[in-house]
Amino acid sequence: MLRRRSVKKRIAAIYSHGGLLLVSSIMLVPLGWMISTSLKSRAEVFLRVPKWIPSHFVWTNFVEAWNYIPFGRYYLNTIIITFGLLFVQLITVSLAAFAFARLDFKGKTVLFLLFLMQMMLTAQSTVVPNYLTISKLGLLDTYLAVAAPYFASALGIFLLRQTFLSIPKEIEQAARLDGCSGLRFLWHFALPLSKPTILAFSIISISYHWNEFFWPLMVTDTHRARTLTIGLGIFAQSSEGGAEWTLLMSATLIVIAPIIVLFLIFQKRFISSFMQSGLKG
Amino acid sequence: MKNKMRFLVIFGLINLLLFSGAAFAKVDVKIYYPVQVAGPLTRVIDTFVKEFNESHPNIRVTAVYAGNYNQTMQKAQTAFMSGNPPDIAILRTTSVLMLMDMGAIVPLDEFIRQNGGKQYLEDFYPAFIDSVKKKGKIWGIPYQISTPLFYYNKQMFREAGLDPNSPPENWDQLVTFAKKLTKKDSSGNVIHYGLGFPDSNQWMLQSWTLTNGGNLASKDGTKVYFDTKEVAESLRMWVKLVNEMQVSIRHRMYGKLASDFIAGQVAMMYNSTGSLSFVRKSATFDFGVAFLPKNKRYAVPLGGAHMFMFNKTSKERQKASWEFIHWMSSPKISARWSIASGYIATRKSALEVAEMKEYTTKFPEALVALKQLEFSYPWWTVYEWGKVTKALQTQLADAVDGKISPEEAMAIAQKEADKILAPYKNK
Repeated sequence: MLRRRSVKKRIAAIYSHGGLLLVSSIMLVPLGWMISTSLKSRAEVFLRVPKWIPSHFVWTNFVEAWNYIPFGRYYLNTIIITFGLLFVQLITVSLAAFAFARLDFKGKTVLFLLFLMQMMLTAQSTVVPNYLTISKLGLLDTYLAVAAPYFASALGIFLLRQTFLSIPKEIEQAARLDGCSGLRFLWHFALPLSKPTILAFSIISISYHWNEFFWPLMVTDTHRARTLTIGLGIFAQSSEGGAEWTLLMSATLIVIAPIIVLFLIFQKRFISSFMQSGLKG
Repeated sequence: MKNKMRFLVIFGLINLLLFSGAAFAKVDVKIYYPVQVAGPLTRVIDTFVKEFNESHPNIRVTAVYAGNYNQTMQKAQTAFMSGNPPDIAILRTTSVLMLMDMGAIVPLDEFIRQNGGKQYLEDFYPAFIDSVKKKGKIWGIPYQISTPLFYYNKQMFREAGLDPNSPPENWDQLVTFAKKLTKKDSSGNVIHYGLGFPDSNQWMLQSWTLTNGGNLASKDGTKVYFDTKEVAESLRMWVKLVNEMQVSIRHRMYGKLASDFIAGQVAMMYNSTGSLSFVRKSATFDFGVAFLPKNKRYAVPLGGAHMFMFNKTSKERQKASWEFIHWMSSPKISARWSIASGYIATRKSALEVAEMKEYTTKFPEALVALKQLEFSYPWWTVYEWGKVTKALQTQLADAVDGKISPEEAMAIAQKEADKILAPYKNK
């Protein structure tokens, strides 16, 4: 009996691992190609029989790519904008979500619906009005120009409100008996219990704003506030000629390296938080 | 008396200092520019701007990279609509009518008159100036020009038994060569194609139509000629090559096509002069370039961008902007930009510049592109060019896929375009 169970387990393991290996190799192929191309010389990129290992490693591609645009400055800007924005978002989002989840006030439903509608607005439709506002405030070409329109995130409010609603009323009552209510409850109880949601939202926000191209391009003019994606745009926008593939791949690797590293570090927590956020209690 | 003199001198000096301060106040000029081809072109532009600023101490130019042509147009439009226009923007030539319609740009005739006049204008290839001559005024100065060019793989020519120094000169030869250069395996699947061209693209359609004796739109931009014999015949050729004979690769855009050419996937291609640097650097075989094959005449449409001066800035800024535009369009800068970017130099006298002479000696292909300019026509443009183009290209794709006949497709495109252009009939 024992033997049958362990054999079954092993077969199941082979199937699941096999499936995972298959899917992950499909996902890894473009990344592999990117690394391979970034180290090639131009003539080797498009051979009829594709070559995975370059005949000689052209490390200077990375140096050349690094010299096209001020990566260092763009990195700093992108980090400040992305993480600064996240910081502000977490504050506004937790306060708003708590209000919608726990407080009662006139027009609450209408207001919440208005917030939800924000999620349906496409980026393109808000470009001109937002640009006008930023321009009138004299904020063009600054970090605020890129981040300000996103300070209030409807998605964040929605997600966190859901999580807050799932906190059992008993905990709140017990806390109130001990003299902890309102903002103190938010800080000491509600937020720690919502860590998975906060983490999930943070990752969504960071990857969206790290990769954003169009809006920063519109409101920035100089290196002062420009982000990595705009820098990368210089390599990628060659619709008339052929692109500089080797440099484009090197530049892309330079840009995505931190995100990959971060993901690898937080990978376990990210996945488990996704699993957990669906469960109650 | 002495005291009075001293007082006058000091008074005079103070005034001089105060007013020279005003004279030394720099005028700020902001220019939006696109990067549409590969290369460290932002660095090149930065170098130009630095040189200009150093030699013109009372002007400070800031160059702003603004994405590709579409994004630069969007940025410039948004900025103008918000009351914050750039002083100059380098935009697709076909944007001229839209910009005029918005009141966003100013005509440059007065500036040209003061700075070189007829002599200056005649040094540009005429079609470049014609592209932006609307309502009797000149609305932009040519900055970067590209044309379609015919590329062919000499090695594959040899392998197919064709003379590597005789590219096809007309449509009949094109079909024959394309057939010879296409290799299929035993089950009929294509190993490599004889030909490739962007088969749903307006610039490409204009190219073929021009060589067939027609054109796509009227000069004043209010009418399109999609539903004409010359266009239908061109489209019919496309259907034949791509769909029926299957000797031309399907639905490839310019960038991807260049890569296909490098990889030996297509033996001949219609592409932009903008790909020349890329092809030269990456090809592992010897290749040639030639005029586009003709049916009735040699012809090419111009592509590229002009420098436009924006409206609603100050007279001072416009004066300074003109100085920059004039400087950027000088033969020397024109030559340097052409060499760095692969775009064609807009000034005829750029050919005489030493660096250009050296360049064309080393790379005679560049000369072929220049010679073809003799047969150049302005890029077709209409009001609402973007919308009209979209309507056109959808029909092109359907026709090439065999979903509808070329004549039907062009009739539909004509009707849609007419609808879009109806409000502009009396412009």
